[in-house]
Amino acid sequence: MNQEAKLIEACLAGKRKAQSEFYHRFASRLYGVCLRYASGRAEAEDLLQEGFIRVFSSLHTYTGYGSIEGWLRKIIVNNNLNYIRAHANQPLFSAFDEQAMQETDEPGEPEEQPDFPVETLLGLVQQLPYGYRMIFNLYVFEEYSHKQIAEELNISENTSKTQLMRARAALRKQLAQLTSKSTVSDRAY
Amino acid sequence: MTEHINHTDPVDQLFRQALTDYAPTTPSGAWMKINTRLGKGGNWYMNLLRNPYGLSVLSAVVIGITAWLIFMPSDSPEDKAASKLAPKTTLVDSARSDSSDSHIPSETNKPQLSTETKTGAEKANSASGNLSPVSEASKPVSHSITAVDRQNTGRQSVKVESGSADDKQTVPQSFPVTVFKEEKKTADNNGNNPPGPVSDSSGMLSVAPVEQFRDTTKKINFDNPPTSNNPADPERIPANGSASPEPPDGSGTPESMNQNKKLFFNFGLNGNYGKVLQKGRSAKDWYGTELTTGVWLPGITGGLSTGIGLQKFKDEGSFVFEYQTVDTTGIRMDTTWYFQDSILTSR
Repeated sequence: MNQEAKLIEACLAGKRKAQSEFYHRFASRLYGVCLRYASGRAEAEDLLQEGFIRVFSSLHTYTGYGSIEGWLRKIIVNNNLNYIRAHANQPLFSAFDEQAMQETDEPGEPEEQPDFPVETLLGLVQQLPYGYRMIFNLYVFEEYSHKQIAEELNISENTSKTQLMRARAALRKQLAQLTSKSTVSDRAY
Repeated sequence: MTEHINHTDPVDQLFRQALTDYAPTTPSGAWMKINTRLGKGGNWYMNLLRNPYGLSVLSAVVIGITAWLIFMPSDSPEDKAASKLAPKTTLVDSARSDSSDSHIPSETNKPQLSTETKTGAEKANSASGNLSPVSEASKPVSHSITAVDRQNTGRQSVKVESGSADDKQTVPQSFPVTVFKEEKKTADNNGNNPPGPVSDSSGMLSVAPVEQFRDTTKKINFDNPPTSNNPADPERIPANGSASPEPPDGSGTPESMNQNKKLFFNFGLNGNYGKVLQKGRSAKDWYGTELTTGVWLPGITGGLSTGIGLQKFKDEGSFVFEYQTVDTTGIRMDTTWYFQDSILTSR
């Protein structure tokens, strides 16, 4: 039995020391996931706490097939989606989004992107509306297809595509503004 | 409709490269909050029951209160008057069996005390008195040392026992010891004894193996039915505040007699030694010790016992905590809950 399996077994036995070790082993990466779904650090911390409570309560369902980290990531993502659905103050997706499918979302010419700090990019994702953010995360990071996203969020595939397109457009706009600002500041020097 | 979205979008790639493996430092208090919530899940009493340490404290409190209720000195005026009349009673019943003012029930109703180191069979013989002996074949061999209080404080009794087990799969056969004090009841003006347990105005403590006493009780019930309310009965206890072993309601049934023994409180020290045999390996010693305590209720012919101890096998040691139910024989214990935590790390 490897160390990871022993650790999981000890966690299942309810040993706090093992649960603490388990948390500290995986919390950092999962916190990164939560930050992408949250609007800020405070909400990300809530998501992390809720996620780990759910992890420990459903750890017995982990069969051992596949990596534990992948399983944890899935639990955390599902928890994040449920949390956002429960705490969003406004409808995440509107019927208007379907009509926007007529708009094009061509990637265009690859642009030379300056090196943005990770925190800056994370801030851009966090500034997206909940609906955009959820679909952007699921599509880009979790690599869900639109069909899977539609099933997961109980929306149509078109809505998923529209939301993603708008999320990209918003991010592209923000990136362009950041690029122009940095260009102006470079010229100033 | 064509698929406009693809995974080669430069925006997607930019964010994916930057944030996929992003692992920032977690908030400092996050684990503390999670830990607190893990401990708070559900009702507090359910958490207490789930937690082995909480369960051990709870059981210790319950057993302690039970023991105190059984052995606590009574302050009622009747009891004080009775205790003034009654001489200091030693634990050797034979020394007072002929005493007219000791209010001690007939020897047929009391198990003898054992204050020596004896085997189980010897204890069976010495404790049974004129009662039906318990089959020696059914007794596991064990040794005991009993120390009892002779000052009628109603508390002290220590029994040290030892048993043996062949291997870890075998539940060690111990020889539980019962310490009980019967409640005091005084007769009314008409000489009738009030309902309730058999009285013992001396507040005597008795120590006897559980099974022996229970066998004794049955023997009394069936072979020597009490005559209770018959004034002409020579065995009837006079109405001077002394006690009667018979049930006062005149029923004299085995059930009523059994109800007199409300609760038994037992404790002991078990030692175990054995060898663990594993295929292809040499035998390894296994030994341990455990302190047990518990209660046993004749009314439901069952009880609960709990133990705490240490055991050692190879180079590992374990802290053991277990709960046991005591079956109808009052001796054999089936472990219903077992907690074990390693205290030494194997190399």
